Amino acid sequence: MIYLDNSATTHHKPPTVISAVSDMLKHYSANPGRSGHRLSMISAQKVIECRQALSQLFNISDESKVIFTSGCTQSLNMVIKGLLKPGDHCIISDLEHNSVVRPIVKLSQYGVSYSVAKTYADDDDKTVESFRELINDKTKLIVCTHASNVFGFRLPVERICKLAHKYGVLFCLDSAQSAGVLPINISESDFDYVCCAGHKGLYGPMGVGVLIINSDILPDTLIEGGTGSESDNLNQPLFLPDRYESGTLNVPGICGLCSGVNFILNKTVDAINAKEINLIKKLHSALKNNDRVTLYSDINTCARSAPVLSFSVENMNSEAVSKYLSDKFNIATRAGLHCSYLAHKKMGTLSNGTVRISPSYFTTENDINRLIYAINKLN
Amino acid sequence: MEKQLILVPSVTYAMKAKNILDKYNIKSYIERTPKIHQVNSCGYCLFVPENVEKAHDILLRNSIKIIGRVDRDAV
Repeated sequence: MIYLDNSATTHHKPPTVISAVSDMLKHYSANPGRSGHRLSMISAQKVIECRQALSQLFNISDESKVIFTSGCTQSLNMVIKGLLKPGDHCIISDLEHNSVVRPIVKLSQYGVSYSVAKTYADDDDKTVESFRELINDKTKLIVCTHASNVFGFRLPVERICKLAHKYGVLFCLDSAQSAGVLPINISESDFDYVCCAGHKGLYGPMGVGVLIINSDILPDTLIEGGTGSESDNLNQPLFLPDRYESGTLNVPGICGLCSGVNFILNKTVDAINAKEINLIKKLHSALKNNDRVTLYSDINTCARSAPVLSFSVENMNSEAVSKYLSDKFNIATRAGLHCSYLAHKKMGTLSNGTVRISPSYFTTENDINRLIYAINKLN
Repeated sequence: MEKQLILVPSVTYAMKAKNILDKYNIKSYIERTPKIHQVNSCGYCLFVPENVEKAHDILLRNSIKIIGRVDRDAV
């Protein structure tokens, strides 16, 4: 199979990721942070190694700020629901995934208000200004995707974060699509909260995500329980990461994630990005010559975006195109709305959806050539 | 006695602390915190056989939360 649905989940994992998960389950499947025996300590050591690898990748000085979750959706819910109270106002972009929008819409039933900032793929100044215009004295939080999961458009998140801080507003970065493929420097950018998926660009298994808290303002907890620490205290610990890690961690997932992050550190984010963007540019150049295909960005925008490309085909539903590619050419893509109503509404693609192409480090030029051939063969 | 057990709240802190002390060539060993009168912790501690005062200072300077010190022989 030619797998081009890596924005949903990277399918081809580095072999070290698979062996790390397997080794954990075979050799030290014990509960970290709960006991003092040898296997428990090995397990705990593996967990902290993953915190350290993530700290290196995102440039943070204290690995305690790295909190493991079940995925990016949980991380986003922890920030959004842990911070926003009735009367608060929140700003999001018009490219947000439902993982951001739905928790905020839910909170809007309880007195939280929100605004949607218009973004401009080709004009960062106008994007920043859109956010500025929406800030008011109730604004507590801006939640913003680093890059659209549908169109790849990259937002000037460092500038938006600076803007937020200028007005005393907290900033949360949704890096579901960018972690591992776009540089993220938390210490330099001063993001308050960063939410990541483990199973996408970080090449970990499903079921593990990350929340990095780089602020003294700690969200309320959504879940309380056993942490293996301060067991005689009936209140949830205040310190990180225990405050947000109740219950047994997904250690097999964390071991796999650690290997995935080490793979990225070894290859470098810049090299991974360059490889994937070149494939996307090649695809873009080929598809723009196909009269039946509609693209949603020019080549320059594409080159500075995350390595994701959406297109549609004249007189064909996106699901039909994706099915054709799967059935006839064994090419995996994703069609429809990609859990991103706002992004499709913005681009006028709600009725038909789009076909999304998302390569990974393991995608080859031949894979893209085969995709181009398949699309050009459409009747 | 030098109170060679440095009590920390969790295994994460214990491992962070050990990594820091390793960089200073101070030997330490992570252990479960024993049940000790007046010290409430279902947590971990570092056994530092030598230079424990220096280790304590280094850990404080590196923002390691220390919740107590006890004699190893007393437990």
